[in-house]
Amino acid sequence: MSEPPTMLIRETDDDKTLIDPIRLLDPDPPFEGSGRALPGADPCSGSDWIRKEPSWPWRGPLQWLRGRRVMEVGVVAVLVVVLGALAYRQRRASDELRAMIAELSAGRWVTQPQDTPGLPTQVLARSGSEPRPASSRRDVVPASREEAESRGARLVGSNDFEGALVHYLVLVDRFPNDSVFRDFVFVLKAKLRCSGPVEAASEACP
Amino acid sequence: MRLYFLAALSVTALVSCERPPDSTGPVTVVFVVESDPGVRLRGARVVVDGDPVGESDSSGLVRAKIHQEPGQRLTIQHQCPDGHEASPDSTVLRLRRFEGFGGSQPPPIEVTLRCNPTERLAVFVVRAKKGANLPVLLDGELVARTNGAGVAHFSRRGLAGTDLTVELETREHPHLRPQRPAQLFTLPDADEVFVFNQSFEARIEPGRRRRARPRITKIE
Repeated sequence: MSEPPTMLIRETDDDKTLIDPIRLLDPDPPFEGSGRALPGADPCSGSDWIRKEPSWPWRGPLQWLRGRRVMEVGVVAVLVVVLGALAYRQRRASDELRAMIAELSAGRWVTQPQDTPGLPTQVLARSGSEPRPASSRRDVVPASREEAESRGARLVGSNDFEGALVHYLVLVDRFPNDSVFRDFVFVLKAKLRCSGPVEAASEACP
Repeated sequence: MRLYFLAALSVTALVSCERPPDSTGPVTVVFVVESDPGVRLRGARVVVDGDPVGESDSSGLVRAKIHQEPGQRLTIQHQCPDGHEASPDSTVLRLRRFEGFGGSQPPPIEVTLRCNPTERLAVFVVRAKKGANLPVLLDGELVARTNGAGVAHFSRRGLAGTDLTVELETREHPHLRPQRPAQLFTLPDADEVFVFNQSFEARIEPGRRRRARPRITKIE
């Protein structure tokens, strides 16, 4: 870039030989004909075609960036790029997290049963605003008090507290003067955490 | 060289840093009053630093907005309704400065307060196989009678740790075995359902045993 490309020797040479000035430094110039090397080792001195140094604006910084400084600047640049990339990734992750939390707060993040078929339906799709499925309630219409009490005892005996709560609620409606059934409803509600937060309450809670 | 390095670090820090949190406003505190874990209780009064802030509703909740400087300690006390007692130790709450996501308002702080019932409710189910129409005694006191299917329901309140003996009175039915079966139950520190399962066998008395008829052999 800083070397003159090629020079043309203006002599009485019919061949108009083209001379590469760099090759002139060699003792045996690789050309033929009458042309020969100019006297003096430096072909770029004392002539009209002497190359002038261009006024390049980056020459100063490039000279400053020689040797070990090139490595130092490179390390700093790599550090800046890596840290910047990390910061960008963190910011994107936090933005996504904020969006997810906003969706959760709005109650739109309800897992649908078809998304996770391995889990029972009552575990999934439990949202505070959604009504409880009526199909989970068992229709309890006892024919007689004896039969109704036997069924309640059977449910309690088998630790089916959800079914028992539904059953004893029916008994409370049917026998409002019998306080023992209200006590059963009270205890079963406590065991099923019916008065607590929605997500902790049982499906059978009224 | 070091100057460039420090400048790069500063730029990176500025890019990754959030803006400083806003000045704190009133903090919403939700007090959850429970008699047992998950069992909300109404009628409990909540006092913060000596000032009453409200009474728990049917959901056992008391909502209060508190103006406090970050780092300040709040002493929370509560008075429980009849039949319940609060723990003697008061709850201390210390507010800290933080920023909500996306500049939103910080979520309310939830503080759970306990009002332990002074008495526990125990409900009993008796399932007596072949034990129809039997008196049911609780600590010697008649509390119920099994129906035609041998089932009885009754309840009792008592202090946690109380021992209760349930007995089936069979004096009216001397053929039943075993006679006067009983079972001991201990009230836990929670409302509980107890089931008393008992199977009877009817003993055939020797005097009432049917005599074998003499076999008649027809001789031709």
